[in-house]
Amino acid sequence: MVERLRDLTPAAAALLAAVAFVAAVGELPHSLRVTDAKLAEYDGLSHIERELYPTRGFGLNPTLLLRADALMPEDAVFHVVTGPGLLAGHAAAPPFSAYWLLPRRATRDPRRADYILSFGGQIETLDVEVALVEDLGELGQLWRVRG
Amino acid sequence: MTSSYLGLAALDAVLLLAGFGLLVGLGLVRSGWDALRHAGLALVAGWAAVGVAGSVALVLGAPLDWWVVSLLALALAAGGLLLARRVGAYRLSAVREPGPAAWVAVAGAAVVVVQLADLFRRSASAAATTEWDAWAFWLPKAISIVEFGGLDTAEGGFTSFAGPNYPPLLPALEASAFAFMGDTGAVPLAVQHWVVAAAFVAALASLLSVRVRPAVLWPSLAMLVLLPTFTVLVGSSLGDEALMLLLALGGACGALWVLERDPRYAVLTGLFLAAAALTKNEGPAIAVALGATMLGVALVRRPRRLLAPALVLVAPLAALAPWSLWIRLNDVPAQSDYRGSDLLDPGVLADRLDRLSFAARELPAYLFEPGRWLLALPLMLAAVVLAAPRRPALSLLAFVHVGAVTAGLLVVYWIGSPPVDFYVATTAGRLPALAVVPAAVYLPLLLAEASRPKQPPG
Repeated sequence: MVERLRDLTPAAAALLAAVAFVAAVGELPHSLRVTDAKLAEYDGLSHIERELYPTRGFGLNPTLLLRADALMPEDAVFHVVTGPGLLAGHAAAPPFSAYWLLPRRATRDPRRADYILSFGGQIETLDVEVALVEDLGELGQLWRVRG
Repeated sequence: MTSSYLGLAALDAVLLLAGFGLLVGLGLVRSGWDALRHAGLALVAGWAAVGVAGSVALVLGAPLDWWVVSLLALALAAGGLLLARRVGAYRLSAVREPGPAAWVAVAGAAVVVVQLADLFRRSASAAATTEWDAWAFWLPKAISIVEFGGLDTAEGGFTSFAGPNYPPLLPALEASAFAFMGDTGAVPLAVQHWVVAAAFVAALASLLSVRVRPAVLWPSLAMLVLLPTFTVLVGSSLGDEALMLLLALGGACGALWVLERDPRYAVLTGLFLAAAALTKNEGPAIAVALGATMLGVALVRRPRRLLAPALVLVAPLAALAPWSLWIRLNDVPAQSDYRGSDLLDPGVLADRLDRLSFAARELPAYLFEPGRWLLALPLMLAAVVLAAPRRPALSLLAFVHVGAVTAGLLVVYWIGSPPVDFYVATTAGRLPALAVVPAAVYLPLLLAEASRPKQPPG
C-alpha cells in the first residue's frame, strides 16, 4: 500500500506543479490590469507631484510643505503642530513633514524650534513667541520662532 | 531624473562587482558563461554583502557616500579574488528537460518574463511609495544617513524616527542608492527595487536549476512572481520587501545545502541570513530557526559535518552584534509594539489570551487567501508531505521556516501593545510574506525531490 502511494508521488507532484502554473496564468490578466490602473492614476503627474503622491492617500495638502521647503534654511529646526483647523491629514502631517523637509531637523519641542509649521494647529498654546512668515489660510501657516 | 537612473545603474554595477567577487571566491563563477548564468545571483549576493558591510561601516562611524560604498564593494570583490586562489572551481550543473515537457518550461519562463516586464512598467512610471512606514521612517532614515554623514543620534537624525532600534541594512542600501543618484528623491527607487526583484528571480532560477527540472521550476517561478502581495511589496521600500527576499534566498541556499551538502551553499545561506538579521527585528529569530534546523540536520547525519551549519547559525548573530552594541552605547530606546520579556511573564500571557485567540482566528485567512497569495502555501504544505519520505530534512527545513514565521506572528500579536484588531489589520496583510514567498521558493525543490527516483534519503 505504502509502495503504491509512493509510486503515485511523481504524478501528485506534477499535479501540484500544474496547479501552481494554472494559478499563475489565471492571475496574469489581473496583474496586467492592476498595472494599467496604476499607470492611469499617475498619468500626467509632474515629477514633484509623484514625489508628493503619498500625501494624497492621507488627504494632506502639501502646499505648506512646499513653501516651507522654499523658505526655511537647510540647517533649520522645526516643529509641526496640527489641530482642528486642518481639513484632513492630521496624523500624516508631522511624520511626512519630518521626511519631506530633511535635512531640516524635526523636533517635538517647539521651544527648540526655529520654525513652526501649523496645519490647523493652535499656535498660541505652544508657549513660544512667533512671527508669521507665510499664511496659506486653511492650508496652514509657517511661523518663525523669536529669540 | 536621467542622472538619477544613471546613478542607479552605477550602483548596480558596483553591487555586481562585489557579488561576482564573492561567487568567484566560492568557485561558482570562473568563466563568461558562468558569469552570465549567475548574474542575478551575483547582484543579490552583492546587494546583501554591501548591505551588511555598509551597516557595519555606519556603526563604526563612516558616512555612506558613493565612494565609501564603492570601496566596500571593491574590498568584497578583492576578498573573493583572494579566496579564489585557494578554492577550486565548482560548476553548478543544470537539470535538462528533454521531450515535450520542455514546452511547459518555455511557457512558464514566458509568463515570468511577461510579468517582470509588466512590473518594470509599473516601477518606471510609479509615484513615490504610499506605504506609511516607508516614508515615516525607512526613507527618512536613509536620507538622514546621506544628509548627516552617517548614523546621527541628534534630534531629527537617524534615531529620531520610529523604530530607532531597527537595524540599519535597508536604510544603508537606500542611502547608497541616494548617494549614487546624487539626489534623495524617492520616485526612482522603484526601478532599483525592480532590479533587485528581477535579480532575485534570476538567482533562484540559476540556483534551483541544480536540482529542479525546468518543467517544474519555471511554472513555480511564474506563480512566485504573480503572487499579488509580492507584486505590491516590490518597490514599496518597506523592510518586509527586503526581508522576504533575503529569507527566501537564505531558505533556498539552506535547502540546497541540505540536499547537496556543499559548504558553498552554507556560505551563501549565512550571507543572506546575516543580511536578513540586519534588516528588521523579525529577521534574527527566523534566521536562527533556519540555522538551528540546518545544524540539527547535520547532527543526525553521518559523517557529522557541523562546521558549515554552525557558522550559518552564528552568522546572523555575529552580523547583528555591532549594531546591538551601538544601540547600547548610544542609549537608543527600544521602541517597539511588543516587549520580548513579556513572554516570560505568565500573568501577562494569561491576561492577553484573548489576543492570541483573536490572532489565531484571523491569521489563517491572511496566510491562505488566494487574493493575496494564490495557492502558494497550501501547495507547499502538500509538497512537504509528498517529499517527506524521500527528503525528510528538506521537508523539515521548509516546514520550520513557515512554522517559525507563523508562530512568531502569533506571539507578537499575543504580547503586543496596540489593540489586537488594529494590529492584525495593519500588519497581517504584508508580514506573512516572510513565510509565503519562501514557501513558493521551497515548492519547486520539494516537488522535484518528491518526483526523484528512489535514492538514499537525505
